[in-house]
Amino acid sequence: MTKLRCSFTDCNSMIINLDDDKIVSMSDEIYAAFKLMQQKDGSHNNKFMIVNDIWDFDNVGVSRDIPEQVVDNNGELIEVEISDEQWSISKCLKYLLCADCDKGPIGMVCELTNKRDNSITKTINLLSLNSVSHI
Amino acid sequence: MSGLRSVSGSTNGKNYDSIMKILLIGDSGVGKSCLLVRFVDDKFNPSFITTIGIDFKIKTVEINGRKIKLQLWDTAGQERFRTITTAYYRGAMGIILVYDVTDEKTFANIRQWFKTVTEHANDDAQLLLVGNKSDMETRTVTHEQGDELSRELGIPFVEASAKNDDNVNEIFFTLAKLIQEKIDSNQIATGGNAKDSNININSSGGSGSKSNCC
Repeated sequence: MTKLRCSFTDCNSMIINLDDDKIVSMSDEIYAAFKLMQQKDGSHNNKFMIVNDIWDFDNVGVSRDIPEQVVDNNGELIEVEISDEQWSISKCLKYLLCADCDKGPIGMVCELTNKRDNSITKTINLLSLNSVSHI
Repeated sequence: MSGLRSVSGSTNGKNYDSIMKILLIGDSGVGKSCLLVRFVDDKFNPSFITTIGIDFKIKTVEINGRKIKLQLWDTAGQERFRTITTAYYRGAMGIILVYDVTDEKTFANIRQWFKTVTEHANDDAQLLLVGNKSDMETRTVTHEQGDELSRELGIPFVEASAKNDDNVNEIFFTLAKLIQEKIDSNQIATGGNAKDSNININSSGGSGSKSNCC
C-alpha cells in the first residue's frame, strides 16, 4: 500500500495511506488560489485525496480558521466531481500541515456547495497529492 | 461509500483503537509549541501559516499493538491573558504541564497551573510534569527540584529537550501509555467520549475555533 509522507526527507512523517478510490481532480488554479505547497516533479498534478474524517489521518496538523485576507475564497470557480455529483469549493476553512515539521499547506478543510442545489453543502478534508511524497 | 457528510460522522471502519485529547499547558515561552515540532534543517514554512497558527495536531502512536490517536492542543499564547476557557479542558484525557528549566518563574508558576487544571479538567485526566529545554547550559531549575515538585503534586515527571525528537516522542508515548492503563482498568471514560466532546471542525466559527482561540 502506498504511503503518503511529508515530502521533506529529514522529516518524512507518515500522513496517511493512499486510497485510490478517493482521488479527485481539480483545476490548476487551485494551487495558486489556496497557496498550496507543491513538489517540483508534479507527477500528481491536480490530484487530491478526499479524507472524510480528520481521524483517518495518522499524523496531521490542522491550522486555525483561515482569515479572509489569506485566501481569496474564489473557489466557486474550482469544481470537483464526487460520486457523479458536481460540487464547487465555496470556502477554504482550515489548512492541513505536516504534524511533525509544520510544513505546508499540504491540503485544506473545505466547504463544498452542490452545483445542482446550492442549499446543499458539506465539509471535507482535501489532501493535495502533489504536496506529499508517495512511498 | 457512506459519509462524505461530516467529519465526525464516518466512524465505521475506523483505523484506530482509541482517541485521546491531550493539552499542553504552561507559561508563555516555555517551549510548548516546540514540543510539537520536529527540528529539521530546511526551513520552508510560509509566513502565513505561522500567522494563522495551529489549532491541533493528530499523532498516532502504537502501544502494545494498539493504534492510539492523540489529538494535541497547544494553548498558543492564550496563557498570557489567562483566558484559557473551560471548553479547552473539556474532554481532555491527558494534560502536560510544561516549565522551562532555565526560568525559575515558569517552574514556580506550575503550582498555579496545577490548581487551574484540577479546577477545570476532568478528575480522571492524567497529568504529566515536563521540564523543557534540558539541553541548555543556563539551567536554573535542577532535576531534583522537578522531581520533588512532581512527588508533591503526585504526578509523573520527565525532562525534555525539543531538540531531541526521541525525547519528545517519549513524552507523548509515556502519557498515552498511562492513559491507556487507566482506560484498561476502567478508571476513565473511553476514547469514544473524547471524540464526541471535543472538536467538530465542521462547525465553522463554532466550538472548534472557540475552544482554542483568544
